[in-house]
Amino acid sequence: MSENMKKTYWLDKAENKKKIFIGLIIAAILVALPDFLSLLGILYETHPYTKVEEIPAFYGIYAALGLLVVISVAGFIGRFLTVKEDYYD
Amino acid sequence: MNALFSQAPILAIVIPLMGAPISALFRGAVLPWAIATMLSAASFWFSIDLLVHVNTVGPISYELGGWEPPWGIEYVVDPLSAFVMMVISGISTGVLLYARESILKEVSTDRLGMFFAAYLLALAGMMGITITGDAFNIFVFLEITSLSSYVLISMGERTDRRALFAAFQYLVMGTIGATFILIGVGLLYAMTGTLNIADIASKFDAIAHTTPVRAAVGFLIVGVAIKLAMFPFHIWLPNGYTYAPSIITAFFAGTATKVSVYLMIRFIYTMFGEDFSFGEIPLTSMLMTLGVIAFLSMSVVAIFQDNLKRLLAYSSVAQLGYMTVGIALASEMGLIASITHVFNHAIVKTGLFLTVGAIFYMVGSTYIKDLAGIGQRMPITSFAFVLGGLGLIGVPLTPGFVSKWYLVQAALERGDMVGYGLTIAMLISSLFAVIYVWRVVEVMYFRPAPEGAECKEAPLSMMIPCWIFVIAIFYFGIETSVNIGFAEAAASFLMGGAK
Amino acid sequence: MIEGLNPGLILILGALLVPFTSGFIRNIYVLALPIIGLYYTWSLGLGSFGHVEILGHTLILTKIDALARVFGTIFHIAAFAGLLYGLHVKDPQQHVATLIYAGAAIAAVFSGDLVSLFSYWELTAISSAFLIFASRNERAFNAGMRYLIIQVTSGVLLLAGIALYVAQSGNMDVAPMELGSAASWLFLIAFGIKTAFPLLHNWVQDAYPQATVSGTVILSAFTTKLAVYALARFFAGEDILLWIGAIMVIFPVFHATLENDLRRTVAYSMNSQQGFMVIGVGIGTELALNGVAAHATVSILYTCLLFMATGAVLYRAGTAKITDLGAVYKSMPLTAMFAVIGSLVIMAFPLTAAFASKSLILSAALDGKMVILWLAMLFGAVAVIDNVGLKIPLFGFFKPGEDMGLQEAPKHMLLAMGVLSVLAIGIGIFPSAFFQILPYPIEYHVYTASHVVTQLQLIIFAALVFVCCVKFNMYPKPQDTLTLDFDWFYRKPLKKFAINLGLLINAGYLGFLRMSQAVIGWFITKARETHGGQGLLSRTAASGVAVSIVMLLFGVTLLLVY
Repeated sequence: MSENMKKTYWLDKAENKKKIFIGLIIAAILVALPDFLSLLGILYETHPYTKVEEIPAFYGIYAALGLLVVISVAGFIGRFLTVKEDYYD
Repeated sequence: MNALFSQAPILAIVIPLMGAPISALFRGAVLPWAIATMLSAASFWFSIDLLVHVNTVGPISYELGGWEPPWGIEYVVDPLSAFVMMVISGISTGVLLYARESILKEVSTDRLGMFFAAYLLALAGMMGITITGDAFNIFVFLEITSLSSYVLISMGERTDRRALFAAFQYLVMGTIGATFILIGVGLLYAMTGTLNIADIASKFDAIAHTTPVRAAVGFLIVGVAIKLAMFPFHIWLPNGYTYAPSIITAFFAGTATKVSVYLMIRFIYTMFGEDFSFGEIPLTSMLMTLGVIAFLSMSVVAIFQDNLKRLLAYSSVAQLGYMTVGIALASEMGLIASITHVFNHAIVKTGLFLTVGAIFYMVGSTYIKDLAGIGQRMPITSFAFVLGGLGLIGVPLTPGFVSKWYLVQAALERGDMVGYGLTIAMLISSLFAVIYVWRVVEVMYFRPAPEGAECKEAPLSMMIPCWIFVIAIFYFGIETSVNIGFAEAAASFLMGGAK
Repeated sequence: MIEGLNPGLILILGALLVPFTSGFIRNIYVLALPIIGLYYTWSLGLGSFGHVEILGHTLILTKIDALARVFGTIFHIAAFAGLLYGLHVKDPQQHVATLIYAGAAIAAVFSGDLVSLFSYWELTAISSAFLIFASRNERAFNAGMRYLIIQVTSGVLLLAGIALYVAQSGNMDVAPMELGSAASWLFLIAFGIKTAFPLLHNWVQDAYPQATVSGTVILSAFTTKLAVYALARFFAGEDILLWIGAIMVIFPVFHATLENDLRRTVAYSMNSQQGFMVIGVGIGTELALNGVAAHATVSILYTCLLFMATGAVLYRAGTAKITDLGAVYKSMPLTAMFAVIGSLVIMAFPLTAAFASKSLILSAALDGKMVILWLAMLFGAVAVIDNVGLKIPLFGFFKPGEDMGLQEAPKHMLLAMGVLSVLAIGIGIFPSAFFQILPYPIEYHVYTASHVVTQLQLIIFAALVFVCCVKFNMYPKPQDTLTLDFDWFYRKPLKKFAINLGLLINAGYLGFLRMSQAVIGWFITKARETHGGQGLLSRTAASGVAVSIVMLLFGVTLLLVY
């Protein structure tokens, strides 16, 4: 246990956090890429059931927007509905 | 092998009967016990053989001394008698496996030869009652059983002198019962000129209306009812069971009253015939009333007992009430319930009395107040008691549930208010059973043990047979093809064979 | 076996023996029961067993079809894992409650008639409440009472529905139902309460986090999924469920984002996941119902896993609030790993079980051209990535900071999490093997290139936005607060009203109780007088008396025989 206390973890270093962030951006570009390539008929064909799916990287965009909605709505209602932890006691 | 088997009906009886004097010759702690155990096991083996044979091939008629029935004595092995024989000899063997160390504490060593001689006689007598096809022979075997039981019960006097009084009272009651049966048989003989049961049965209808026959029926039924400890003839039973040595209680709880149930079924269905018993005379209402009072009232009495053996004894009277009701319902389903319960109650109650014996062996008392904290002091034995208690209550997965299930079905089959009332009464009685078992369990597990009480289990030679019974309880509660299967065969044989 | 013994009874009856075992034997015993139950379930095969005639109605004690069997199977597995997780508990009450609760849920699934269904339905309610009470503190007690009231209400509504239904149709079988009659609405509301429909949902978030560490795990597995099963059984293809489900998917996610308590967070998002299943039932096609069964199974796996991991933190740290926790991963690396696995599964990461199961329901929606529903569900999928998939590991386990000096979770907890992880990943890797046990035959390819790519898009873009928001302080900061939910209405104004009403009822009830006590007391005294000690029926009669009785009865018999 006492060893652990002194140990510095990989995540503790600031530069590693940056690495993760950059890694995420690269990964995002990579997974969006096939959608654009398929427009040119390269790599694979998409099988859209719906119109919206034909938008390139639709899932990625929808996810990003959806997440923003969740966070902003949550932040918004949080202002009205937040009470002290022992409210009901 | 085949030659041996053709003599199996007589061997199952004669082996313990002849073993008795041999056992009486031996002295010491081990030899008489070993002889009794081996002979009982041999008898058990033949019984199983017979049971399987009867159920695959058909009933066996064995002529004693080559005399043809109805002149000679006939042994009849049919599905019912083979089943009951299997129960008796099986229980006896199981109890004997357990007996060696237990009995040393309760009976002095120099009497052991005699003790096991009496035990074997009782076994031979019960087997004989079951197998014989001759009415007078029944009386003879009944007397063999009774006389040896008086001796066996009185052997408990080293622990408690009241055993002598208990044996005496049993003697008075038992003798009256046997005499009644003898008078009944005598009257029938006078009217039909035969003692062979099948022969009497064939002539019965023609003379059923005559006064002597009616009297004979009354004598026989009351006589058997006394032996069966049917409420209110049960007065001898609680004392007998309470003060007898542990293994004798366990043995009789599983066999003695069961044989009487057998006799009751045999007389009612084979000898008198179903039409007469339930049509001509009001046996249904008579037996059912007594049976219902038995299982309700005696369960309540059991709740108030302060001696564990006595509590279980009253519970036995209550359970015999179930069997009586099963007979009284006069249907195949009821008969199945009754016969199955003979088997089921035998293993459950014997198992329970064996665990009680193990507790007595270690604690030296069966008073409930002395059992405080046994759950911690003897965890394995106590757990066996709990499991046995579940069987007694009739929790699903135990045989107690199986027989009650059939009994409830038989009651509902009637489809009238009596049937529903009976079902409700049975539920209430099961509730009482929960209470009296729980009372014991509560003391065992939730009362602190007295200071300085040691934690020690009974010897293995007692624990193992106890657990064999416990495991058997659950085995036959789940895999019911043995008890239900043979009981169904016996019931359909009786209903089909009843004219 | 006794013919028609419901598999759930193995656990229910087995539970009764638990108080009489201890230590090592108890551990083996409680773990063996679900294994035996599962084996028995599968050995029975499909069919219906144990028909009992009572008062002109047929009860079907056990009815196993493929749909029921999927739920029965996962219930056994969850019971096993939950019991394994809870082995440290020395309090037999919890083991007994767990076994009865799990057994009742299983038995309810396999019930072939409405009466059995109702009985087990109520039994789940009552037994599970003890898992909340077992926390033994005032908050838990109050939450437990609220839980019990709501659950029993569901049972009472169901009973009323059954009574009406049987009176109208004369039929007692468990069979699909048309929504329309009063009876069917009662059914729907009863099921809706347990499924946690929007506005009927608060008991989940209220009660689950108050249960004991292992109790929460157990609670999360059964009640809501049993309700989903009941919906699928009675109301498959009912349109109204589509919209209820859609609201249900979206409604709880905002609270989940704001929540500070890790276990409450999981409870909210579980609620949202329930919405997927409700939509699936609403679609009602074979593919959708397969999806419901599959997602219910998978959802039990990951919800239990997440409750286990967060529970382990609670067990070691004494708190599961984000604001109180530091860098948990440093001292509980294995637990953190299992939390990450659970999060990956709930995100439907490729190679995990939810990747296979969620897509069944999504595809079923697209097959039915229900684009708006599909978008709602996709939104729910994104939201769960946020409020569980990322929030739980990052805020709960991988916060920057000092080592908290905790101990790793006990071995049996790790083992339980391991079992669930292996199953969750195993199903993800071999989905077709898992699809074999689903109710309907299925031809579905989980691993198409486009499916993998789109799902990864969903996850990675969400993660990117999440990280950005945290980085730029846009993410709502976890605070040690409560966020009011619909339950305010009944916990504040309704409570006042109920208390006054309750006082009134209580007075009447006490009077009734006193009277019954007097009556029962009279019976007991009488019984003791006649049956006890030296009472008439209990004392040893003298031989002479005995013989007289014999003679008397013999006389009576002779009279009767003549």
